[in-house]
Amino acid sequence: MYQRLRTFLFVGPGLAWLMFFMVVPCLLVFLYSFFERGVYGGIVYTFTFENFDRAFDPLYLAILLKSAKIAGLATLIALLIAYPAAYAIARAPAQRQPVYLFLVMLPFWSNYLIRTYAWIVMLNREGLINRALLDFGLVGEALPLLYNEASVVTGLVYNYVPFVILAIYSSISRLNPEIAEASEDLGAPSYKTFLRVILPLTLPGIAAGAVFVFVLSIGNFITPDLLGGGRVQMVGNLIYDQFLEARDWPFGSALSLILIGVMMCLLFAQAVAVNRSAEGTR
Amino acid sequence: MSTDGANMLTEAGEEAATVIRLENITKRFGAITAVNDISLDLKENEFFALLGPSGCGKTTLLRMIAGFESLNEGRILLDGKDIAPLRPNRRPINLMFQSFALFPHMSVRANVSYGLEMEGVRGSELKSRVDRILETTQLTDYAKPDQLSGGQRQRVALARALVKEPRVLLLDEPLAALDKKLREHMQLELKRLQHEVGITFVVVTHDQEEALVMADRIALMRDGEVKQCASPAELYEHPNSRFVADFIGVMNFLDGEVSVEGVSVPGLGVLTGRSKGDTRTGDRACLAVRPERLTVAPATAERLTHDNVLDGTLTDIAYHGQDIGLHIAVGDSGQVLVARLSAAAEGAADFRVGDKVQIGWQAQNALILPDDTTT
Amino acid sequence: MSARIPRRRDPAKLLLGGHLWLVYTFLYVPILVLMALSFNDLGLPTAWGGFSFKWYAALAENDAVLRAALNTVIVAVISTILATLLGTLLAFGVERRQRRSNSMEALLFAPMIIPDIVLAIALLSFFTTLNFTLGLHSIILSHVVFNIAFVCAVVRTRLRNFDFSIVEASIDLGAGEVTTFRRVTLPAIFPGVLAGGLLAFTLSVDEFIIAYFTAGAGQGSTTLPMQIYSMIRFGVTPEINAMATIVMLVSFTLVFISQRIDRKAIS
Repeated sequence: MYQRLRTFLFVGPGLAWLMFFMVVPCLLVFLYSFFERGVYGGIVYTFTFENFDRAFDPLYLAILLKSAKIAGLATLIALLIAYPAAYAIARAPAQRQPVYLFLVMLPFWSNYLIRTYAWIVMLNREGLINRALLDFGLVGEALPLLYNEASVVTGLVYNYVPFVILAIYSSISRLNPEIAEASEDLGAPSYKTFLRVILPLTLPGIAAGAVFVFVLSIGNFITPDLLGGGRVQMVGNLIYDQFLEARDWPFGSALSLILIGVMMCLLFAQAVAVNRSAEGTR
Repeated sequence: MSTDGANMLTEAGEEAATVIRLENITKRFGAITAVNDISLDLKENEFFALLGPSGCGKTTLLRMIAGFESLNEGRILLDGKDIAPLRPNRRPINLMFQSFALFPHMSVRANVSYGLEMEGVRGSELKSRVDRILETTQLTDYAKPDQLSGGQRQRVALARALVKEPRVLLLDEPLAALDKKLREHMQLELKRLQHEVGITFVVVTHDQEEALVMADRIALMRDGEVKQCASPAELYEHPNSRFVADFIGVMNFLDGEVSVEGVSVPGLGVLTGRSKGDTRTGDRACLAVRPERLTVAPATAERLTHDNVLDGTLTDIAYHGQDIGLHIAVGDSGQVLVARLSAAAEGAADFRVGDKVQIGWQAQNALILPDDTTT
Repeated sequence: MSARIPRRRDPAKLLLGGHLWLVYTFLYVPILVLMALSFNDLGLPTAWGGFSFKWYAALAENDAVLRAALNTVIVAVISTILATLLGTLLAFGVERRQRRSNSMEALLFAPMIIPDIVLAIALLSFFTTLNFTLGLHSIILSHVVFNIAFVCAVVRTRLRNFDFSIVEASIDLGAGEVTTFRRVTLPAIFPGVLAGGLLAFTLSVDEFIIAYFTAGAGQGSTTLPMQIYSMIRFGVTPEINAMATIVMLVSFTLVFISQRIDRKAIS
């Protein structure tokens, strides 16, 4: 059929590229996770679960949990910062909203490394914050603000907050404004209108933002590497190490698989949460 | 400028009490005055309509009563107390929104209970009041609003507001979202409901037919002002201006100049009608007469004996099932009068396009209205 | 008698507004600090040594940086062209089909959500297994992967808002398929394609992890983000602030232009 051929020609090249350069490599990772590491860093093709066993060793499990903790903290803080900001933008005059959003998203479009580096400048011993604290006499000597979990969380929050604001704003702006008015008309004070009507109806946006931050944070490499100074090990760093230093590709692959597994679970949970909550759209 | 309409007589024949008094309400949005010095009395247990073309300020006025728009000037008195400084959630007034604004994440029962919960009503009292209102509005407890039809959603919105037993129920274009057949049914339903609960209903609508069917009194608005406030019959039979006469129902207009006996219309002579006495000789004015007040007979029949008789030609016949609209060209300047007669009337079926006819009306059935195209 | 109704000040509104401005401060202060530092003669936040371009000058002399910049542009341009082509065709093919396939959707969505480090190691494993030599070309091949997905997503959105009846009108008026495509379809979706291309270019320019893993050991295949990374990691010289400022300004300009195109296209 002519139509079939045309579709094939259109879809074919792109699809082939994705298959060859994404699906196959990912399958490879999947396979590697079941093999053994060779003595000199190659792959020994014997089937084994030992990589996954190792991943749940206390040592590595601790790293997985710490990654989850840091990612969770970053997610929570990002949500707390983003929700009021998104709400403020949604209540601004309609013509100004795109501008406010643009200004929020602009930093998001600059280089990730640079955004992270900026916090090194802000947080290190000779950095801006310490300088300000010292100059104003608030502390006697420079605080060790950098190279700890807190700085990693700060970096993650800084990098992802714009997207969370966008996600939550989308949800809020799609609400029928008369619903909030109806709640007020029926006697609810503002905070009750927020808690019982607006918050539940904006859950999809919150879920989208939260999953985004968490997934990108837990697999993050750059932020713990630069802002953690080697003292904060997360899953991303671990995978990096296995591939470029320890040369234990099977183990690295297994870790990657676990990471993807966590990600899929979260996406699934998000889809369920979105389906459950009703659509409050106009 | 604004007239407080006919006093509402209750069944007992006494003057009904005023539940809401709007005193010199003005609302400006920047350079635009949306509501201009309006004063109205809304009575107990009446069905009141705010009617007008879009942009006339009726919705703004309604929202000011509900509390969602602030006033620039004036007072809103509920049982004598000024409620303008009160937030909407503190007013014993409830608003039914055009989109119904049901809470999509709550069940029907939860939606209806919401307002009572905010008042602190709990337990068995809550349950019984909700049960009662669901019965009154003929709703059974469905799951979520998205499973309901348009008519059912409207009833939930009504139940939700009425269960709080407000002093006044405001409705913003309540029937706009429904299809035609349902709309006609709901017009009578709302009327019945209002009688049953005995609360004052204030409805905003742009549909004059709807207002005529449902309301006890109508305030017809234009450009932020009330042009006439009266019962439907009064508005229909005694409009006080050309705008009102044109907006309500269908009206024939013949433009001309006021003369001693009536209105002098170029090409047709002097035509007579009732005057309110608000015109002087020489003013531009029009003669207004309703289609059903015109009598049409073939030119060949006996001459009509009405106060006014014109000769014309039938240009169009519109068949409406139960009645017939006859479009008749009179005079040389192509003016067309529309007459309406019952399809069952004698001779109604004999008219043909092109026939020569005579049209007649009695002076008492026509109005002389000043030209108000600028006001 | 008319009473003046007092305007109610909403405390919530003030709080929210204040919070928003705090957020803007949080977002922009680090960026502005970097920019200010790049002009600081001293190069350190310790004190202001006077306005100076010297770090920019040093940057201009830095061969490694210049080479990396060139590499980045090469990679970005080529991968953008490829991705835009393939992605647009893909978008057309997918959007025109009657049946929506879930697995197709997942496939198109995947490159955008897979953690970049996983994609990076997957590609590294892949190339190594094939004994494929690594270099700029492997970076290009890798960048096309996620860029296809983004371009496809952007163009698909445009296609969804595309009124197909104008194509039918063109045919009804006698134009052939190719002519219709050239004179009706393409101009209508061109802004979307352009926006997608710009997005792909920006993503490629900023991309670090995948480039790092697929660049191989050679000196000649360092991209700018890789260069920036080693500058940050292994010796912070003040030149980096100048580098950061330039890169950010370029990004901002690209985004701004892309927004303008998008907004003009919508109206």
